[in-house]
Amino acid sequence: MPPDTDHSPIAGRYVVDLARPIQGAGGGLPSFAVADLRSSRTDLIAIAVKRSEPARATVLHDLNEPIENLMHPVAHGTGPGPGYYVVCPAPPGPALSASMKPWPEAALINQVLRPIAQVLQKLEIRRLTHRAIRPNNVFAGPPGQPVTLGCAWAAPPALHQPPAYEPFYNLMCHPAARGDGAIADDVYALGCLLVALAAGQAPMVGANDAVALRRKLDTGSFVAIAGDVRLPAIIADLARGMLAEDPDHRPTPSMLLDPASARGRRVAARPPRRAPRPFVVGATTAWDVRGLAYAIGKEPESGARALRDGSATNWMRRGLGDAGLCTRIDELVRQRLAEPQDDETLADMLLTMRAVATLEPLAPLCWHGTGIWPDGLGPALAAGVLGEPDLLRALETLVATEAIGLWAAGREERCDALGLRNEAQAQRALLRIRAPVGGVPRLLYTLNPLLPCWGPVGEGQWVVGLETLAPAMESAIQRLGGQGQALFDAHAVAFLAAHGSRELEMEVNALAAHQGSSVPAMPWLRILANLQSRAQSRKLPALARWMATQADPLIAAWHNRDRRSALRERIRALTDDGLFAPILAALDDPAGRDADANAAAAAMEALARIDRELARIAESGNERAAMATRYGQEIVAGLGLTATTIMLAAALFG
Amino acid sequence: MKAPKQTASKSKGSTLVWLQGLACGGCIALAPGPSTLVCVLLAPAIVMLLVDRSPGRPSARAVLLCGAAASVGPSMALWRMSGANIGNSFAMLSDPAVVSPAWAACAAGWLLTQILPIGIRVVLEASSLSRAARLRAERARLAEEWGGEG
Repeated sequence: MPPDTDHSPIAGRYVVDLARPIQGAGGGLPSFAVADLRSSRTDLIAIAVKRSEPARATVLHDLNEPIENLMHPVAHGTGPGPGYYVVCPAPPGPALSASMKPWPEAALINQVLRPIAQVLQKLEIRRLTHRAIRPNNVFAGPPGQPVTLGCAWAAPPALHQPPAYEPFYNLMCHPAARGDGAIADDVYALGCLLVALAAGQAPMVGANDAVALRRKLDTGSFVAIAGDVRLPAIIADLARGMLAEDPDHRPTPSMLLDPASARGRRVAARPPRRAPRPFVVGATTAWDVRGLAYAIGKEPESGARALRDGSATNWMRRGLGDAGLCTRIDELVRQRLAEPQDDETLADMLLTMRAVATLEPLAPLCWHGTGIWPDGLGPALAAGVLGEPDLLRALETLVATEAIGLWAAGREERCDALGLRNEAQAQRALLRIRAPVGGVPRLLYTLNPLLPCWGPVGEGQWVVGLETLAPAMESAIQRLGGQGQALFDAHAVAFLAAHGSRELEMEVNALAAHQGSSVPAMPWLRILANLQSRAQSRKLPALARWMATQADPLIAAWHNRDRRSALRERIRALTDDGLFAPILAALDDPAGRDADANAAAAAMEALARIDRELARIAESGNERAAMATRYGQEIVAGLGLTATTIMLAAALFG
Repeated sequence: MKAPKQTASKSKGSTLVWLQGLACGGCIALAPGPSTLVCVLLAPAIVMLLVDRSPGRPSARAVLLCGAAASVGPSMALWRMSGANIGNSFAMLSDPAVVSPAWAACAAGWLLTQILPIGIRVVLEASSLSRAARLRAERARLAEEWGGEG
């Protein structure tokens, strides 16, 4: 029997039962039982998405076919709570983290390595990554059967990865900025998982990101993870390759399907040359080029000083003997000093970013002390907007300076520099659009398509699509009452602009062009009418009433009093129906407005004519008196002349 | 250009006065009786002609015409007498029934020139007030129909 719920089922069929949480099935995220309304299927769970950690839209869109041994997404959408859920098959057994014990070699190969490699191979074909391979997100099957990879779609990629399971360069990044990465990152995590299962214990227990980074930097990933654990030879050989620092040196999933040959694959990775003496940048010590890149990226102010005063290149020249690299760094410093800059801090930041990219092309973009992969900018921005103001400021300058494009230009052999430059330009263009349509909120919702709308409209609701925006505004306006204007804030407008279709483009532009603190009624009415049509014309009377009050100036702009009154009455009647299209049709009458304006002009002319006539009457009193006098005297003269004539005639002929 | 015109007009007026005086003098010389009678009967009008300085002397003209109407009868009566001499003229003038009607006519003429303009002005003012009221009503209707409030 399906659970009672006020929410529409996800995808029209899946109902999340919050009363039945399922422990340990979400890879660290809350998960719940799901009832399928169209079948008796009971092997589904729903994994809850956190509001500030948007689900992976690209994967959810592209991964639309089941993959064996993977908890693939079946559906996703809003549900009770309110919340957002990813529906996927339930795990076949408990998470591997539930009982960590050493696995035999054969079981590791046949039940872990090969099945997961197969999954990764299929993901790679679809140009997707998993990025959540960790013991609490890999589930044991029935005895002798392969493990199943858990859901990795309900949170930004690698956000919840323990530090051991992330490659060194990803660990340099903010947890939210690790990005989708490449399948080689999944291979790395799989290698770490193999070591953990072979050892029967979690690697680097208790180490935070900084400690894990330092350990991996000093000893390399394999030693840092495996430590002194005695591993089966084949597992050790495989793990050494899978935990290579350079992603290109790791075996591909296809190679891992044949562990014997993958084991024999040796990629000659030249060990980094270690200087006889360390170089200290701020509080970070560097022994080699990678360490220097890490230190400069971590402490950019000290790094910029060390670069500008030449101490870094002197150390490299004397300790590492890499004259070519020194020359390139010197060139960057000369370029920085030669170009006058308005903002010295920004110039230093660009210098350190370029220097890190030059010293270690494998490193992420280092900006204000943290690393960011370009494809992790969206979730990082969400983390910044929703609680990390320093990170937000850093990301704003990152986008405003198109630093991603500059960074890509410095490591063209490692990325699609042209594509990244175009992306950076597009992001900067969005940032520069005037609020409320543009700016940080617009960038936030554009880069995170599944991030719910924040601001008053999102309070207590989960608004992730245009279809849900208008009903959410209806609920919010009932809650806010007279404070409805707060709903039409930058978050709502930016959300609309980011998700808007071409048919709403003109209205969104009208919102951008609007000046003042009032709510621009006509563009919003058109938008709401459009949104309402998407929501199958669900009635929104409270929102319609509030919009009608905002449209009052439009009604007052009509000149004819009777027309105004009639229009006001009509709008009042229409708002009770809660449909925006008829309201819009009533207000949007250009021909009527033109006729009204012409008639008003004629009335004004008539009024002016009457005023002139009244003034003339008031001023013509003396004229009338003179006229009366003249007429009176002429009449008397006429009478006298008539009398004289009569008397003469009577005297002559009488 | 203006000075010669004024000079010509003034010269013409002087000539007219001179001719009028010549005519009057001729009348008095040729018919002293009737002239005396007419002068006395129209004495109020002559006074008005001297007093009224307004252009065209409308009041004096009205008084003169009214007095002239009343003077026709006595003048014709003098003319029909056996001798229209000055004696008869004075005889008639000594009769109050001859002088009074003429002077009363002159007074009536003057009185009408004072009263009739007032009556006419009353009529004109009433007409203007009525039109102003109609215009104000129309203005109020337009203002209500096209006004900003409501």
